[in-house]
Amino acid sequence: MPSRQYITITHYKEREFYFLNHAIQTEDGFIPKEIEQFHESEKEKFIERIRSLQSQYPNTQIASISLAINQTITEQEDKNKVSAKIFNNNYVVQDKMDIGNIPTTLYFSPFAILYQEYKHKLDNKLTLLIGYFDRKLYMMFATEEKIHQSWVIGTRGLTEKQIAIRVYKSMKAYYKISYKFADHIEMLLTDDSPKLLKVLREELSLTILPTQNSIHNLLHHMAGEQSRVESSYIRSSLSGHTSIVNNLQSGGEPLEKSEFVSVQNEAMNNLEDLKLKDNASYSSSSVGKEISFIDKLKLFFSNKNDSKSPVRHTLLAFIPFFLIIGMGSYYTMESKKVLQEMELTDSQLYSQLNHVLLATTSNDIFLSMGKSAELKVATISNSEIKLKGVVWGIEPLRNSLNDLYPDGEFIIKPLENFMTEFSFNSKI
Amino acid sequence: MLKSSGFLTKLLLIASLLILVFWSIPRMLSYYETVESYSTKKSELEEARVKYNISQNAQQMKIDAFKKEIESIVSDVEIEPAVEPKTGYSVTVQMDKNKIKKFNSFIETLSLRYLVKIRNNELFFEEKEPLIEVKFILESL
Repeated sequence: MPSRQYITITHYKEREFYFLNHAIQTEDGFIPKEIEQFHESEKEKFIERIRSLQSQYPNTQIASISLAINQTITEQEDKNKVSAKIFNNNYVVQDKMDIGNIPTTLYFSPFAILYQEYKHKLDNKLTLLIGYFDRKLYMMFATEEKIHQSWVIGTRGLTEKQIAIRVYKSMKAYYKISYKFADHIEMLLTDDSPKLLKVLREELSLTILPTQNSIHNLLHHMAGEQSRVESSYIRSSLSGHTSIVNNLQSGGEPLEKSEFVSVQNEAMNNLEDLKLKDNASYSSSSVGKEISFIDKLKLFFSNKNDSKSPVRHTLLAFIPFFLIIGMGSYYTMESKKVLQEMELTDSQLYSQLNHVLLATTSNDIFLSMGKSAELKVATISNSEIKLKGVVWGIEPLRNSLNDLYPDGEFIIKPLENFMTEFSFNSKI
Repeated sequence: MLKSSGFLTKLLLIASLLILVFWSIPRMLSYYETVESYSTKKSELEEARVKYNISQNAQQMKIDAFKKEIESIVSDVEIEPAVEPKTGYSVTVQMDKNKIKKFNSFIETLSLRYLVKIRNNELFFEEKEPLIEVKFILESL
């Protein structure tokens, strides 16, 4: 009966696209349906499609993958972070769950998937397991005992050869810290890239064994069997919700597929709760424990997911940058133009004022001469006056000049022709 | 989104914000202040023009136009390039003594007609019977 079918819905985001797939799980494996693609602007449509699949097939699990770059494998569970126990005492840990409000019941780390794919091949020799997910290399050095080291390296923008060189450099870097080279390399590629396979084989010799499988298939595989789900999905130790694990573990026997129906809603709520609790715990911890400004800056600049910061973001960021520079430059240039015009207007006004004063002084002096005297030589300015001439009415001239310039010096000198010369100097 | 962006993106956005706050916006505000101040000064100049009944904007100093205009007041005018400043003009005019008042009125409105000023705001008078001679130096504004 279709309603009893167990369906796994898988989704992940790569660059600006969401990829969605669902598969019917059977005793002999899963049968995947067609992959659907949604642009990030169609997020609502994408979520509606998931909801529609959920209503179409009541017995579902929605699996997704954490493509965060900041996940590491540790030997101890960090109670303050989200984690998944993947092997003995090895945990995949990342700061917080980021499922972006998209319905998800099972969340897997590439490390967990990688381990599930290759755990049967591990022995006492050191194996480098590499998962190539979303242009990032998830690398772990493992033996059958434990995972010794893990790294995540972004490769966006690199050529196939550069990617191969990165892998080789990682091996050398590990040698520097452990004095061990990996005896062989297993590589799981989620992109169908024959050229990358070829280059990796050429650059890293035959010790590398690459295989290719899509993220959807890997997720269908992970979510297809409860033992794998139970041992690998990421849960938050902050939430305390472990009901999905408990349910999956009940009776020590694998659950019948139909029993997923009973845990499905709880599982879904579980993760949705986790998401909320993550946010809540983040905000409450920031209230209780003041994060310093420097820490915030560090956090802001820490490149947690460099492969998710496409060149497009950087190019887009140039737009406001240039617009703002352009705006500043425009107003600077326009200001300069207006200032030049204003300076001219200013000096015109100032000169006009000075000329009015000069004309007034000149008029006053000629009026004060009247019929009493005649100017021979005069310098008239706005700062001083110097007059020299012939005078007939000494007192009227002295009085009128002294009225105008009380501090002036009036001197008379008799001339030989019975005339009288006067001179008058004054500061204004 | 910002958190998942690359270092360069973040740097560019922060730089954009800082430039906007500390440079672009102050430039813009300064521009509008300057425009306002310029507008006030232009109004003052316009008022002066209306007061003296001058309809045209001041023009650059042109010897011919200046000579023609001042010849209506004075009987003789001589304009030469000044020694100092080199861009200036040395002006010598002779007129009847009874035209001094008209000459002073001309001086009063000089900067409203031409983009010039009288150097040091200084006039030199000398009697040249029966006329009076006035010398001054004009500088471009």
